[in-house]
Order: sequence, then C-alpha cells, then structure tokens
Amino acid sequence: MYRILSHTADIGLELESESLEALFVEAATGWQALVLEDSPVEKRECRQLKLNSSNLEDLLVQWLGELNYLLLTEGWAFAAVDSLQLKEKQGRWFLRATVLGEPLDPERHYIYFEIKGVTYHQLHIVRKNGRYHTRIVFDI
Amino acid sequence: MTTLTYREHKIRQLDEMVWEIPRTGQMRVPGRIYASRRMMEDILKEDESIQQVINVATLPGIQKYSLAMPDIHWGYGFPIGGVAATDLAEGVISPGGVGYDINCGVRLARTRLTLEEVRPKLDRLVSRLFQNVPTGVGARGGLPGVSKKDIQGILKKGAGWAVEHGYGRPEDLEFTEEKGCLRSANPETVSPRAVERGRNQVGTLGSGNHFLEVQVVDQIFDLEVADALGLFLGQVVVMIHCGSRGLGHQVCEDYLRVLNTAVQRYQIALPDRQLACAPLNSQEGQDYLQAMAAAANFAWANRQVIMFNARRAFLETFSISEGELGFHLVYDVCHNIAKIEEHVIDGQSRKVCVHRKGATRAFPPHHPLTPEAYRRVGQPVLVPGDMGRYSFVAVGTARSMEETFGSTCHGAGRVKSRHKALKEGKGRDLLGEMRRMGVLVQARGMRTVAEEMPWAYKDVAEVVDVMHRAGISKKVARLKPIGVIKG
Repeated sequence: MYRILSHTADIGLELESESLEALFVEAATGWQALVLEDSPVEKRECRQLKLNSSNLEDLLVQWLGELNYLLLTEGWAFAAVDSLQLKEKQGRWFLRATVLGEPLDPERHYIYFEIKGVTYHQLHIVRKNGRYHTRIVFDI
Repeated sequence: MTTLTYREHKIRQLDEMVWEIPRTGQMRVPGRIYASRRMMEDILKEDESIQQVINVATLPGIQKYSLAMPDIHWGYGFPIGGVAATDLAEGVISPGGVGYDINCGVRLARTRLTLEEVRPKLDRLVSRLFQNVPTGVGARGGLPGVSKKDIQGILKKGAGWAVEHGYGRPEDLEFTEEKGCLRSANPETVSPRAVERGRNQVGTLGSGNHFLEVQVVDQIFDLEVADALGLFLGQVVVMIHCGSRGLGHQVCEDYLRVLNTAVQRYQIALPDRQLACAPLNSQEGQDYLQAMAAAANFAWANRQVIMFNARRAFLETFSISEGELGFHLVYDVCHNIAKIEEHVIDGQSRKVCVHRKGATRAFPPHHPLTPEAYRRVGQPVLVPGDMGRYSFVAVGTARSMEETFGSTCHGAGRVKSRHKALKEGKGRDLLGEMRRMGVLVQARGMRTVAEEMPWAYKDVAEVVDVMHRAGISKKVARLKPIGVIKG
C-alpha cells in the first residue's frame, strides 16, 4: 500500500507492506503513479536489475534511482515489477528484479515530475506489528 | 529585543533582522537567522528548517555560525537558504550543503530595447524563445550533437567551453561568478551515468521553478549602481534560472552514497543522514569537491548556451543588428554551491569551504573577485521571484563579508505545495489570468503553470528587504516579468 505525501516544496511516498519485497514493489508502483500519473504504460519489454548495498534504506534509494534513471536518461518507462528478490548475505543486501515497461512515447506518456533525487531524508524502514513501514521523499 | 522559543532552544533577537540560536548540546557554533519578526514566527510554525540550522551547527570544522537567509525553508540536510563555512584542515564538505541541483543559478542579460519597442512583438518573441530553448522534464537538444568529448570539455572549462565554441563572447566570462569555471573540476570524478544523464541536456531549462523570463526594469532604488550595471527604467532584460540538470543531480546522488560510507569510516556523528559528509582533506571529500566543481561548470555552460539561444531569438524576432539590440550579460550567480574562499575569521584571513545552499554570493565593492567594471559598486546579486510579480537586482556589501561569509538570499520559496496549487488552479484560465497581469506565459504543460502561479510563492520583496535592512545586500532595481517560458 502506498500513499502520496505532498510537502510544500517536495513530494514523497508513505509505504506499508507485509514483506520487504512487497515494500519495494509498492515503492516502485507509487513512484510510477507520481511521475507518470495516468499515462498508460504497457508491459512490452523487460529489464533485469541487480543492486546491492550495506543497508536496506540505501538499497531502496538505489532501486527508485534506477527506475528514475531509466525513465529520464534512457527514455524507458516502468509499468510493473515482474519479480523481485531480496537477500541478505554477510551484512550486505542484494536485490534482483525483473521489471516490465516500454520505451517512452510522447504521444501517450507525460512525465509530471522530474525527480532530481531520491533522498535519505528521515528514511527508515521499520517493522511494526508484523508489517514494514517507511516514508521516502523525492527532491523535485 | 525579543526571545522566541523553539523546542528546548531560546532564539534571541540580536538586531531588527538578526536572530541567534545560542550554542547548546552538540552544536559547535551558534545559529544565526536573518528574518523580520513576522517571518521568524512563520518560520517557527512552518517546518523543521530551524532544526536543520541546529543540525548544520554540529558539523566538524564549522566556523563562526550556522547561517540562514530569510528565504529559509526545509531542505535535505541543510535548510534551503543555509550557509556554512568549514575549516580546510579540520572541517568537512557535505553534498547536503549544496543540493541536488549543483550550481543552480541565475543569469541576467540586458538589452537596449524598451517595453514600448518589445510589447508589439512580444507574442512572437516568446514563441521564438520557446523554440530556441528546450524546456520541460527530460528536455534535450539545446545544443545538438554534443559528444562525450564535448562533455569532458564542458566539465573542465564551464562557460569558457561554450564561448570557445561560439556560444557567446569572451566578455561574458568576465561577468560570470568565478568567470564561469571552477578550476578544481576533475571530469574523472564524474560517473559515466552522470555524463549520460546530462549529455543531451546542454542548453535546456528543465522543469519546476526554472524559467526564462523577459522582464522590464520597473523600479530603480539606486540610480548610480543601476547605471554602473547598465540598467535603466523601462529597459527590457532577460533572466535565466536553471542549473546542472540531470548531470548535477546524478553527481549529488552518487556522492551522497560515497559520503554515507565515509561518515562511518571517519566516525563522524551526524544528526541527519542527508548531512553525509567527509573531511575536506580526505580522498572522498576531495573527489566530491572536484565532481561538484565539474557539475558547476556544466551548469555555467548550460546557462551560457541558453543565453546565446535567447539572444538569437531577439535578433530573429526584431530583425535588428547586434549593436541595436545591445544584448550583454549583466551577471551570472550560483546559489547552490560549495567553494574554497578567503574570509576573515578571528581577525585573520583564512581559506574556508563556504557551502551556499539556496544562498547567493554577495561580495562587496573593491573585492578582487568582483568584476572590474563593478568594482566600485559591488558584485551584482540576482534574486528571482515568482512569474507574476517581480525579481530583484541587488549588490553585495562589506557587511556581508563580516557577517555572512559574503552571502545573501536567493529567492522567494513556495508557500503552497504543488498539489495544493494544482487543486486551486483546476478549471481556471491560468494563462488568461497571467495575461491580465501583463505576463505572457508559454509552457510545455498547464500543470507546471498551475504549480508555478504567483500565489504559490512568498513575496520575494520581503526577503530582499530583510537583507537590505540588515545591510548585507543593497537593493538596486526591480524587474517585472512580461514574457515567461517554462517546462
């Protein structure tokens, strides 16, 4: 589950999920809803993403940063997560994901926000009552 | 003099426009905020920016004060409007003190044309500007065919690269802060991803609050200084506000990650992760400083190319000669940067790293870094407002060197969230409203127009007045927009 947060100068997401994997999927879905709003993005192509970090918060920043880079630099719009795995090994977190989407088409897609950066502002992934919660803020 | 309370802190009024947060807890220096009493009360109500001033005061090697300008608002790590100088030997450098949009800044060019001459062809001029200067999210192609080698040249030479390649005149560099180039730039410290992100974006405005405006000088506060800057009443000028685009955003993102690790390595205790930093004399600190300088150079080249394309739009629209147009750069300032500068601390002249995040350099008359032509009057300060009301030109003073490491305010700041502004703009003829205010707006999307309507912003006049009354920067002229292009 995601909820869009609107701050005076910036924008963000409040996320809640039953698992860490679901939290990362929700983050991507919320990010897409924010940036591309109601543009219909089709699942025509897939891309593999592999990321790792010493902590989960940084991994989440990298994950959304990657989708943002694909959109703004490679002109590839994310539609959905096909699969996503998270693993912890010797103090490092590893993410492997297959994401679906298509090349940007100015006729059908409109980018509402240029996200300059995914911030670490008060970013903490916490587990409460068996569910994972976090808030993530974007600099726009 | 009044005392206000913020959490466990007592904020003392030192002067009509200056407030101090005394040093407590982990703070290494006191905090100082420039604001009127009414503004100060609003700042305390609004958000956590005061806490951010306090957080910055804990940074290793910080000198004198953690400063905030009157346009202070919540940022990441540093507040927007934050200024801090750190010691080169014991201090740190923080991307949180610069921001994602490295060397976001403002450039002002003057013409010989008057409002009467421009008004009849304003429609055509704004359309031509819109054609020549790409705007909007992911805008590309302001300078077609830029190779990776060109980008290396831009990162190294900044605005100088653009001038060398025919996008401007050598005199433009004289009127650009740091002559449009930080020599410490090292392109090798910029990731291939950052280069890729910026490669097609040279000469583009981008989105959000960035703009190109055709403005008219509608008030002059100091005739002598205005004259020295080549400004006169009724004159048409062009203001450009933008930064280092995706390249700078990526440099910030890359180095926040590097410095988050450095914080652990150097065992720096931080109250906020977004204040990630490294000692200035460490490899990580030096790498960031060099990469940031390269991104700053990219921003200067970007504004230089945009100005060149704007000049072309004027020449094409009015079919006049260069001499008749008289298009010249007044000045270019950055308001998101960290630079090594010389300042007097405890009676001694020392080199420090001045972070200005949403703050403008405001060097005084006779300063060696103030252009020769302005040496008598001081360095121009450009403070953009919203697209309906006005922007300001000011100049730095000797007091800015004594109190704020030669820094002043940078803009208005939002008063309404984009979401709220959008909601209020729904179903309204916003372009018509702007036209009735005497401003012709052309934008890629109506959404940006709604988000950027004047009522979404604070009145920049109040901000500029605080710094004028505090004696930090002196008002010179007010500029009223008549034509705007946006993302």
